[in-house]
Amino acid sequence: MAEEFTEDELTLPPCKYEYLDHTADVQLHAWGDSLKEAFQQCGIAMFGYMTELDSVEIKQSSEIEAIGHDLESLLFHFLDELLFLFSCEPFLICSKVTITEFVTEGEEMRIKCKCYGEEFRIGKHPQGTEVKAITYSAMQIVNIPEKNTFELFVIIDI
Amino acid sequence: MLDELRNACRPGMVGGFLPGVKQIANVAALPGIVGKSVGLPDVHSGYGFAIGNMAAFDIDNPESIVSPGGVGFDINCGVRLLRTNLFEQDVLPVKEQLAQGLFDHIPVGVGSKGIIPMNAKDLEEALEMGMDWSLREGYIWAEDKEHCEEYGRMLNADPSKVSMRAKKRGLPQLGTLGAGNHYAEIQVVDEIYDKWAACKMGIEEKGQICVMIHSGSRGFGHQVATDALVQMEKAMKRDNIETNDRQLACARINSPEGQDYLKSMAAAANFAWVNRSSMTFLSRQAFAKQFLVTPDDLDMHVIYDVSHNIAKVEEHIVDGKPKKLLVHRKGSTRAFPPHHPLIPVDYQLTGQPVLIGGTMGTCSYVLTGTEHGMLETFGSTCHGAGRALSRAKSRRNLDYQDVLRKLEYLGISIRVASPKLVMEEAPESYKNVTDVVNTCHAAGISKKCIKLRPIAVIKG
Amino acid sequence: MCLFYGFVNNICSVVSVNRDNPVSGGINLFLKKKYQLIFKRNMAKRLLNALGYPQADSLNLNDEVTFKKIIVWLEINRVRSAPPNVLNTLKNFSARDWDNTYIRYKDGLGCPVLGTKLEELQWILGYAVQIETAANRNVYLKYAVENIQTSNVPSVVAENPLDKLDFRSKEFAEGIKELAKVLNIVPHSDPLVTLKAVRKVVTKRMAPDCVENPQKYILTGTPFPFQDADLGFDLNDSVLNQAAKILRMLYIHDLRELQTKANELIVAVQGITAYPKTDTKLGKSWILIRYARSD
Repeated sequence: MAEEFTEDELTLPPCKYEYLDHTADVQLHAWGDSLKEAFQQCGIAMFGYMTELDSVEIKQSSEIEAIGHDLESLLFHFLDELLFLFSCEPFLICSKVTITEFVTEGEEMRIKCKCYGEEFRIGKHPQGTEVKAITYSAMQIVNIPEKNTFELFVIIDI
Repeated sequence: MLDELRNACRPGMVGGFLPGVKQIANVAALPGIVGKSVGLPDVHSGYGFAIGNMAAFDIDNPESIVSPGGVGFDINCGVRLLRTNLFEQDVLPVKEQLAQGLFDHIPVGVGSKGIIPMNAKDLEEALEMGMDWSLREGYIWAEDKEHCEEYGRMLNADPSKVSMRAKKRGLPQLGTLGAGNHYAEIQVVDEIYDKWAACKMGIEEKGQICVMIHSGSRGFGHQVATDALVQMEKAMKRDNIETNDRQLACARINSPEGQDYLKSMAAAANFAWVNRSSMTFLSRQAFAKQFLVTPDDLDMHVIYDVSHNIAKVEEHIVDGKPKKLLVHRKGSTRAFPPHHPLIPVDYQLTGQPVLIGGTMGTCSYVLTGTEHGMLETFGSTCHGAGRALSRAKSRRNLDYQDVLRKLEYLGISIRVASPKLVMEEAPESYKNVTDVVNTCHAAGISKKCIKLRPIAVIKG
Repeated sequence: MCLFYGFVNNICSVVSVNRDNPVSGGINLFLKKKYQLIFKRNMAKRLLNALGYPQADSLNLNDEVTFKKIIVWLEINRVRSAPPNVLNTLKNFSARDWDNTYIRYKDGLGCPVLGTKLEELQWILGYAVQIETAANRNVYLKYAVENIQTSNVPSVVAENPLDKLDFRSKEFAEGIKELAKVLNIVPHSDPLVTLKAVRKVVTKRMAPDCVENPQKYILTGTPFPFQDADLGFDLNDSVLNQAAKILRMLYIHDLRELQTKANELIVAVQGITAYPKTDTKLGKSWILIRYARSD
């Protein structure tokens, strides 16, 4: 039951992330033209540490939802949901995530996101490093719309 | 460690993190701490607590806290050592086949799934029973349980305190080695420092072959820790617990959050023991098939199994009086002295064996616990090499092909799920484990017993 | 599910139950003598019967007055330990503080906290039986299992010749010393202690199976230089330290035996429960090597 995807959905976004130094773990640094884009990039950065993303074809998609009481916890839960998607059914490895709903105002912040990729298969996808958990450690969210600067720093435990 | 400090002191750093030494100091300021917040020789920066950090809290003090950061994400990550009656000359001719055999038997790396069939009910039982589950199902031997911290089962485990999410993550991963610094190695006894203690462990001579398994509670433990951190954030606000570092999420031991964490942590610890037991079973199968004899005839007994990421209630002597403490050991191994009631009968005279795993291509050590360590560090010592270079730095400075060539030159067969990442785990990325062990020996908190040299490595 | 849960504790608790229960000692001898035929009736009635309580078989133990009667009868005829004032209150069944006095009485006997009155009664009955047995030890000894077996063989004299031995005589002491010498045992100044050691060696090392297959019994392994081992404490006296070391060794030896028994128990249970399996779909070519320990 292969899913059908539009041309637009199959187009991968440019790479706006890097991996920074940390003694035992790795720090994801992602940026974008909007906070939403930075969030999306951060998600892909995490998947990029698990395998080589060129090997991932878009064959199926899954929808996730995350909530948080501030931006930090929103980012934390967003990444945690993505990690969960990979860790058990449907074992989805994604090369593209598209945030469809992005509420960062008010008491309860919310993200809805569509994740595109396929089931992780040893043999097809080179095994990278395993991400154990997302951490709040030294988490930084640079959100300055005036300067058009949106940057995220997250340490993932590996 | 000093690099960390230097980096942290550089002005204008964006996205920096706390250096290990500072983290140790922050832990020392937590409520209810007894004695010192100890940094072991392999210390480096971690999440909340440093890695290589031991801290004990007084159970009877209502202010005392328990912290998931003091255990780490990989709950009950630990090392198990199996001995064999084989010698190097028996194994060298078939080393490649044996390494491949182990690699075929033990699922490794990101996205690998366990090959021991499990359903949700099995998982619940395993979480409650720990190694008793493995015993009941026949995956391991009765003697294995005897040579394991806590006899391979934490009795306060309560699977009902564990989220569905953790169970979902754990189920497919039970019986898998994992990735990162986890490995299974075929090792050779390279040096014996304490003849009698080695003899008690069934190590008679140099050249004897052992198998070391380094793994933990996989996604299950990671999720338990993540869930607890979220819970504790709320508890900290409610109970007005103030810490120097926001990352030091914790809760009072007697609060619902604290108790729930201890119960789910115990379930994760049981998961890890079942996990290492499953891989013990698979390793024995691999050896048995290679040599066409039963694992029993190969005398493949567990020498010991240590956990180096765990919090446990223990009795210690503080100011001359016995006191119940909750001892957090993160990147730190329990090292109890001779005659301690909690160590197996076979090691009553020698002290508890302490297994220190090296890194790919470097030596590993077996130490024994000492009376001095019991007094100085509440019976704790180092856990391994500890990272020296960051992963990104390793990637930049080293080439994976060089690393593999060097291992080949050293006579080490390697089977690795992600060869392009081996430089992250290359010996150059870690502190010299020999220095770490020698420091612990000189400080008297543990005693050198056996040195092991790898001849084959299987990793994620 | 909790199959293996704390099995060592279970073993220990079994042992301690026996120790706390006064019934365990003399009861076997006592019952065997008089009332082997009435095993099917309930324990309390059997004990009452054995103690000679009138019409024990037809009693209703749940009846309060009957219960009080039994307690008083036991105290007057068998236990005989209550002070006069206590006994007087107990005798007065309608006394208001009868229950309190009874509680004081049974506590005085050392009865542990039990769930029901019937259990307490059983305990007190056991206590009475023990007193009775101890008072008539020699009578019951004849009926001990060992002695019954020998007395069934007609040619053997039922009397134990050892009973006539004078254990304090010089002759006996010399004999034991000689025997110890033959067996390579260092004699103790008390010949009875030496005899104990002799008995241990004879039963352990000279049993028929042991003589035939000595390999099965002789411990192998590398000896451990326990003299160099750290004792863990210092008594500031070399002789005491030496003694403490030996005690430690004996303790470790016992512990090892217990652990081995526990392991044997686990292996026995594994024989029923163990069925290791692997999913061939997930792994490579999987052929399981069966490795039951004993076969």
